Amino acid sequence: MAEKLIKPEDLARGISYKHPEKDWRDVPTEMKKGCINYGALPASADYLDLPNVKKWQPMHDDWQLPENWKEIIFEGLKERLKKFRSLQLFMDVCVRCGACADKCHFYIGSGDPKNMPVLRAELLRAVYRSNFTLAGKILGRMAGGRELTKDVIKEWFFYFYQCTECRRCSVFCPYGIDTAEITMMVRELLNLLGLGIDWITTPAANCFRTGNHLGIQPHGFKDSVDFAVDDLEENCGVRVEAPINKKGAEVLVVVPSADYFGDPHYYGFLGYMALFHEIGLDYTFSAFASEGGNFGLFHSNEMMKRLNNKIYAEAKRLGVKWIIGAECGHMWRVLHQYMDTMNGPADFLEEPVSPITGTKFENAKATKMVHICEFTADLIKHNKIKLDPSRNNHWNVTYHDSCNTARGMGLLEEPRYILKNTCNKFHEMPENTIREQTFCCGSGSGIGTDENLEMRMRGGFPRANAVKYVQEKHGVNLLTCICAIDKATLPPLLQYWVPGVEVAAIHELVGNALVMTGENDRSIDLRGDKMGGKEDTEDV
Amino acid sequence: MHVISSLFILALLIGLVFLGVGVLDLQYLFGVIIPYAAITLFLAGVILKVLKWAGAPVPFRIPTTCGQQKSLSFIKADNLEAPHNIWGVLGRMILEVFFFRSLFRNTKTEIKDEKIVYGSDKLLWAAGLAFHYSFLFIFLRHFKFFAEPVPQLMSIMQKLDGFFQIGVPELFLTDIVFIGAVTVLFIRRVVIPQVRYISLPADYFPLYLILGIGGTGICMRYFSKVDIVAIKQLATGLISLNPIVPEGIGIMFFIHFFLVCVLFVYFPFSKLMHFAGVFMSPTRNLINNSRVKRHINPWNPEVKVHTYAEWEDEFREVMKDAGMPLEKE
Amino acid sequence: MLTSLLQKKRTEVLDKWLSLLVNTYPPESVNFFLNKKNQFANPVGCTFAKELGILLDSLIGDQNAEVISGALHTINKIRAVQDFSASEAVAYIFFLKTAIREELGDELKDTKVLKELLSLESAIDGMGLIAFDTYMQNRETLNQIKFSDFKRRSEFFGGGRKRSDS
Repeated sequence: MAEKLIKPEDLARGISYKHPEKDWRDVPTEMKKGCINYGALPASADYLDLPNVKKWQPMHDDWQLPENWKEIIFEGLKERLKKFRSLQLFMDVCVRCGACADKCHFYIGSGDPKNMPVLRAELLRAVYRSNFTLAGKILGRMAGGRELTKDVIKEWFFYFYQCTECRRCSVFCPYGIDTAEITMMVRELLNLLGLGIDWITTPAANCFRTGNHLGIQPHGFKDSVDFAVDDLEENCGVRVEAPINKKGAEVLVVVPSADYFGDPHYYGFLGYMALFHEIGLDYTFSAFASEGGNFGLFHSNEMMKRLNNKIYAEAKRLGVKWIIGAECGHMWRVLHQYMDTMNGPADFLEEPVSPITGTKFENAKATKMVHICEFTADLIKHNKIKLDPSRNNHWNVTYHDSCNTARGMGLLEEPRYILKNTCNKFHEMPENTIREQTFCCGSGSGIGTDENLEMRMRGGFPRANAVKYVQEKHGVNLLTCICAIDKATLPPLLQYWVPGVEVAAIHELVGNALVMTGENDRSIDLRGDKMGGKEDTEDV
Repeated sequence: MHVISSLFILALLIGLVFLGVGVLDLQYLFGVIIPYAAITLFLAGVILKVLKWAGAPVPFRIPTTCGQQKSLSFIKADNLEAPHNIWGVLGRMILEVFFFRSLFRNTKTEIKDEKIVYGSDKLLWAAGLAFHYSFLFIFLRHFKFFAEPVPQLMSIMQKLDGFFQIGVPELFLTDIVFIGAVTVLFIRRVVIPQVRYISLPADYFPLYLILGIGGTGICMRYFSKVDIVAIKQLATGLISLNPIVPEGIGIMFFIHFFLVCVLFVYFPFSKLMHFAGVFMSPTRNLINNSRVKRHINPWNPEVKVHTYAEWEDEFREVMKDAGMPLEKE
Repeated sequence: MLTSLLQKKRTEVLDKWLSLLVNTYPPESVNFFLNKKNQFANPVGCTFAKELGILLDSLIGDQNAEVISGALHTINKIRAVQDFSASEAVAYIFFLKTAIREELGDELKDTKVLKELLSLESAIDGMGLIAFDTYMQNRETLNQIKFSDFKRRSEFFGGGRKRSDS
């Protein structure tokens, strides 16, 4: 009797995956709800003078590609092969060994084979082979080629907006093939056809116009900062000054806009202000350079340069000596690896020297831009600030390395050094999930949207799973990080996978622990919650 | 499917030798012309490819940092994983090229349920390393055919290789390692579903080719004896650009030799170019010093920017109302 | 009787069940989910393996509802964000029946055992119902998160920081 019924396992397999093992080139891609991002608003794209602007959504059948779309792609690819050795090389040398296959957080969380970095790259490589290599031109599919069709464009859109450019795969690749590079190239190609996503294009347009991704105008920026000054006074009893556009200040401080706007970024922002006040730093914010982040990085190298331009321009106008960059991941990828090349040389600035400790930041000699964690760690090392770690005793802390600062910069120990001096309870997540092997939040590179939530939850699962481990093993209740996208997207991720763990900036803990001259009883922390729990101290 | 199609090509190639040498008696074509053509194509192809790569600039300094950057004096920098000078890069490249550092990273001894579990990736690293080194060793060993007298180094290598003196002629360890490693790489590709899924004919074909070369080579040494003296004559003739084809070289040799030629020709057009590419990878061979020294992009584009003056023009009124400093009142 | 049989064959039944569950994923990835044993490198597969074990044990043990719904919750959290419809997502519960029948085979001919099996299968059905609830709870959480994310984004583009936020 049982044989006649539909077995549940047939049902479950039937709909999604009942295909025999087909060549991946023959498996069609479906635009699935919860896994795609909306197309760019024409107004934003127009403001940035982007090509082929249209009112368009990826779930529509007709993507309104321009007449000569194939030519655009081929010309675009040809141009980029000549401009980027990385692209040319990564197209040619992959041996498909599979070392990267199970290193991508999206693959780990979904099992979708096209989320294996090697296959993601093959999506472009197959087209490259068919049109740019001798073997591919003659042998076509046999040589691993694939004809460029509208469906391939759709597949590119689907999968290259499912890569967060986190570079984890490139750590494991024997030739250092970096899928982030390939993703960046394909996104540039897609943008040539007007196929950008809104969560990248609109913030970029905002940033170009007002100076920050959120589109906050100068007076709004000032309001936010003034408001933060009030908040800080309420919490600490100290009134700080937070100058904006102040000419002749020694240091320009550039923060990601989420810092003065988003939760929990904001508490870190309070932390910076408290710190700068306490050490008497002569600094200024800028309403023009009111964004350190750079969604241009997720769009094209030209857009990255356009948005990044204002930082040096403003430093020059204000006549500062050097620049501090606040906590943000992709912002630091740009500042560290691209800014000086694109918009330098910064010969109008001076080599950064901490006015408090006298330390020369020789690692920022040319760029003249210092990471705030480098700056703060140096202060702590020289005993220039007084910290009371027990004020963070209500937190049991772990640290999430942001992809960009870890794999695109090598900033691993500075934040840990700060943490060890600002809290008493600190526990690392497992070894293969931190430092250079850190797992992405699953929402980086401009895909942290609500319409893409299911994909984000899948992609973030490996990270959340490691957090869950330290929550269960050590009672961790706070995940610290130094990335604005992390701070925006880890809270919903943890709310889903690991309820009970909060997210915070490193400088929120600094702000809490900082003993300030003239402070009040500090009974509440920067969040306005009860501070401390000073009695239960545990060894680190 | 891909597994079969590329095997078919190998069979075709071997058939070609039987036809050419066995039936049509084209010893000179297979013994001299094709080898010269193959080596020419190989050299030209490799050089052109490398020049093509080198011709594309590295616009941005994009090393993948796998360790601590050099920043503050009290934080220990990791020069091998995030190189901050040329020595670091050299070290990193040596580890990468000679020890497959990145592949090794995969391998982790894991403890699960109190038991040690080895990750399957260790296999890839070990087999890869064993394959490349035994291949190199065998390749070098072949120079004994081209040089007279045989250099001492070759004799030493041969002695080492036949250390255990099993059988007559003594069994070379490298032969066993070589065949074993290639077989592992092949089986891995067929058995692990993810790897099978990503594999193309271009992945199976070189493995078949290499197995074919190794197989015929071993066959000649241990089973179907060929005239070594005649082969050495051919080899020295070729290398002194004074080619002669002596009588009595067995068909097995021609198959072996032809497959080597095919490998040489195939090389520059295939993924095998990774042997040169690994040296040029911008995520590995650059110093992580982009904040210390400005990296130049030769095509740094002119872009439209939003200037402060334009910005202030748009927001002057609101800024004035908010009491913010202005350039122009 | 049945209980001791199942205890004896626990590993086989569990492996079978896990393999049926994992086979709802693309064939290329089944091997990865099943064989990669590091819980951080393969959180999906390892979570499934662990939680199915808990489910089976408590099913043949004391059938503690809290333990069962906890394990179901953990698995369904994963299934809820992958490309499955509701029925596809929770169907794995019923795979246990198949696993038991296949692994016990001949031993089920005994009518006494068969009777016990019937009542165990009722328990599995009950578990299916709880699974559906936990799946829905997870979807609900997801929708809440989606909503608050959407709200946050609207606020982002809406102007300055509101005093009530802090």
